[in-house]
Amino acid sequence: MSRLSMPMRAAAQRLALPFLVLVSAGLIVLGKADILLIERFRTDLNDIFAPVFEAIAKPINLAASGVRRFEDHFTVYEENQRLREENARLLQWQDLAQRLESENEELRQMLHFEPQGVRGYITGRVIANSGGAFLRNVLIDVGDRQGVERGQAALGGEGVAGRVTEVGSRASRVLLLTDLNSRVPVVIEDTRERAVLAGDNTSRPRLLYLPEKSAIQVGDHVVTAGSGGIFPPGLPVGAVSSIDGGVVRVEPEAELTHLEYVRIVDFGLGAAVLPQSVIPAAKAPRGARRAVDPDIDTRQ
Amino acid sequence: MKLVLVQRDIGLINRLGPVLTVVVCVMASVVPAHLPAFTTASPFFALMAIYYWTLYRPDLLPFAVVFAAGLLADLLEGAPLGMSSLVLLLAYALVLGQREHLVMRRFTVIWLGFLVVSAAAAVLQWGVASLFYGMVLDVRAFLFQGVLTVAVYPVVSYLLTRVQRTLLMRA
Repeated sequence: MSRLSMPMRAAAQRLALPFLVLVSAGLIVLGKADILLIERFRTDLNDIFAPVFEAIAKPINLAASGVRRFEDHFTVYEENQRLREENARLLQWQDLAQRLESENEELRQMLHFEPQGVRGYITGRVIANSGGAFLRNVLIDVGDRQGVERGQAALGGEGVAGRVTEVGSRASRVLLLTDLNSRVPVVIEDTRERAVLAGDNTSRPRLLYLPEKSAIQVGDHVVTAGSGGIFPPGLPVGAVSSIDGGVVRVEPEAELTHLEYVRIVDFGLGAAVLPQSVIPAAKAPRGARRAVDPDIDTRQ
Repeated sequence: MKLVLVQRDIGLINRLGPVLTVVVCVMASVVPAHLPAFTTASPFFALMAIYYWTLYRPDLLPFAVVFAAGLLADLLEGAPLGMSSLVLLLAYALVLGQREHLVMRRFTVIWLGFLVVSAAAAVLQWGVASLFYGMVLDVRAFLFQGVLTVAVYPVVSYLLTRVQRTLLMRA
């Protein structure tokens, strides 16, 4: 550049802007076609930036939890009271769950039933989230090294948070239920009606393709349908929060706006390539808990 | 010619200062902040840095950097590639054209200028995203992000002033 004469350089500068604007527009159009190269580029870049984000996220999480701890001091009494009550209630459920689990086990043995359940969970920390006005996704710090695969379900807290869309070696992207591109086959738990949960960038995604004379009611629980074979059936998604004309909206059970950790549901073939150290550790306590969750939901 | 000489004098690190701040701003938008106001959209930090450096040191911010910053933002956010590049490049061109009316004015005027740029950016983003997805998106989400961006600008502007002072002191 430095050897170019001044007028040449000025001309290059003048042309650079329209040229780059055109390139940007071209890239947007190309993006519609889901080009594999761009996908690769994205996941590689995620991998490169993952350690940086991890380093940044740590102090921020620390500060956030510090603020929370400070706030908690003021509500310690009420919180304690609430937790006592909850604990008493949960102990009853635990008792029930253990009884049901052993009963289930016996019945399964009688029927020689091979459960098609979840094989394990991979826990990942949220290291980045899309800041854009029209995007709802998060970047997590686990990738195919830990056994994450495209299409797997991600749980945030108690319910489905979204689906894995990009997988790098050490970072993956989870498309949240609320994103415009998110479509998840679901079942209304009580009526067994099938529908598709579609994100539209609002905090409460819509239910599409419900039967015309649907018996759906506000408060009905919505779980994954398992059709398509990628999501395990029966994962809690949320509850119907409003029925307004034809528009049925669901309040997701997972707190999507401030996710700190997600659990990737490893179901089916993915578990076969997991290192042995990962499977039992992740599976033992949580697998047992997950098995009783849907039951609790229906009875509440 | 004088400008060229000055540029040569300040070291590589100093010359890269603005570029680095732009990269930091791009990353700031995707870091989970856990702040109630940032839960649906975080401020468009990259736009702030581009605005600032276009006003005060456009010589240290080539078109290619603006373009690359946009690409980086899109890749990290999982957005359609090219969307932020387009918005940032056009904002850059807009500010460059109006530079003499804004630079050396009171901060209120500069802030107002940023308000106009943010509004234009929000509407452009909304338009491009709506075209891309083939449906009319809710414009309020974009405007909300714009308002958030304008509200946070004074803080970022102050930080960038500190960076600029450090650069100039060393030069």
